[in-house]
Amino acid sequence: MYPHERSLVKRMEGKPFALLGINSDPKDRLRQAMKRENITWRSWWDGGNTRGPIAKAWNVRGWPTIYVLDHKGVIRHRDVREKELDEAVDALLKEREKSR
Amino acid sequence: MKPEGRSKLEVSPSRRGTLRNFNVAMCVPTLVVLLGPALLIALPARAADKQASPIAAEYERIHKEFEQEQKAFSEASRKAKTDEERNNLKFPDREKYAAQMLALAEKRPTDPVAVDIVGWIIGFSRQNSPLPTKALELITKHHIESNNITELCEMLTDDETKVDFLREVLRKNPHQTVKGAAALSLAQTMAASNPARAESYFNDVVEKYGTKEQKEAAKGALFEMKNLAIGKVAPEIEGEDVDGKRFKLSDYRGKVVLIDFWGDW
Repeated sequence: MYPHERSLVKRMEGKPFALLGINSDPKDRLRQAMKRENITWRSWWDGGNTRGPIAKAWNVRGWPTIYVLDHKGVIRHRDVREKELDEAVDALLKEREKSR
Repeated sequence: MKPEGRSKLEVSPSRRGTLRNFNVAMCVPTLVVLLGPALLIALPARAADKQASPIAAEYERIHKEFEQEQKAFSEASRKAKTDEERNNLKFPDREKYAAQMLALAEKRPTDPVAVDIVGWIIGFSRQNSPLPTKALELITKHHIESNNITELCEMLTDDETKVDFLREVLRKNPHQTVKGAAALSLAQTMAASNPARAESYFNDVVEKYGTKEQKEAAKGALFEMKNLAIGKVAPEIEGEDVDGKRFKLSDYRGKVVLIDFWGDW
């Protein structure tokens, strides 16, 4: 995941796109991971374990779990990966352009 | 018991029996990791039953034999120097063991250990095997009212062919926890194909049967169906980043947003 996320974020630089994480690690581990993996995007820190309040509210039972939202905040995809994820993001950016 | 790598399936007590992930075609590197938890689940936990049951020792023997073959396979595949060498290794024939297990359970179908054996068969037989259905017939015949089949019901998610069995449990089993497990599995199985029906099963767990934990799971799933489906506006997320700075999902309205629930494991 990390390399793909890094390249996606890089490719999206300057575009109306944001990758937001919800992280289930203890804080020190999250800091280490961000440094080691060169993670530039923001994450909510969800209490240090997989039963954190955000994961609980979203009924998350498997990690990673992925949602893709359009510019109106509507959930459009779930658990898409790799090429499929790239295409989904590209399509939603185009859709946003058209709606302007 | 945490699986290695970036992928993680949370094994909470209510989901402990869920073995569907072990049935998918397993590739060699994940095999050892995946089978770890499965073995623990499949082994009988009740020492008293073990002593009293005439089939417990044999169950354990077959299981150990299987486990040894698995170990030998993992070891050999770890030591293999080339892909070719690795591809020539014989993957343990789970189906053979499952058939032995079924024959054993059929010898003493009313024995409580037979329930554990059926769980083993469901967990380990290959995909599309006829054996789990046969094994469940034994449960329908001899254990349908047992308070011993909760974990078995928990294992039967996402498999439409097991719906009839779960309905039968719901009709005939008098125990709240068992009913709760059966209704949850029914609901999870139908969530995609028949959401209205799934919703009504989840509601039954919240209102009628089930432990506190099962009710929580049902509430979470209902929330997910209502608010987290494709086409719904994502619920607000508000919290702090690693440095304690607060931010909200709605701060990013107007942008395409990828939300990633992740952990560094």
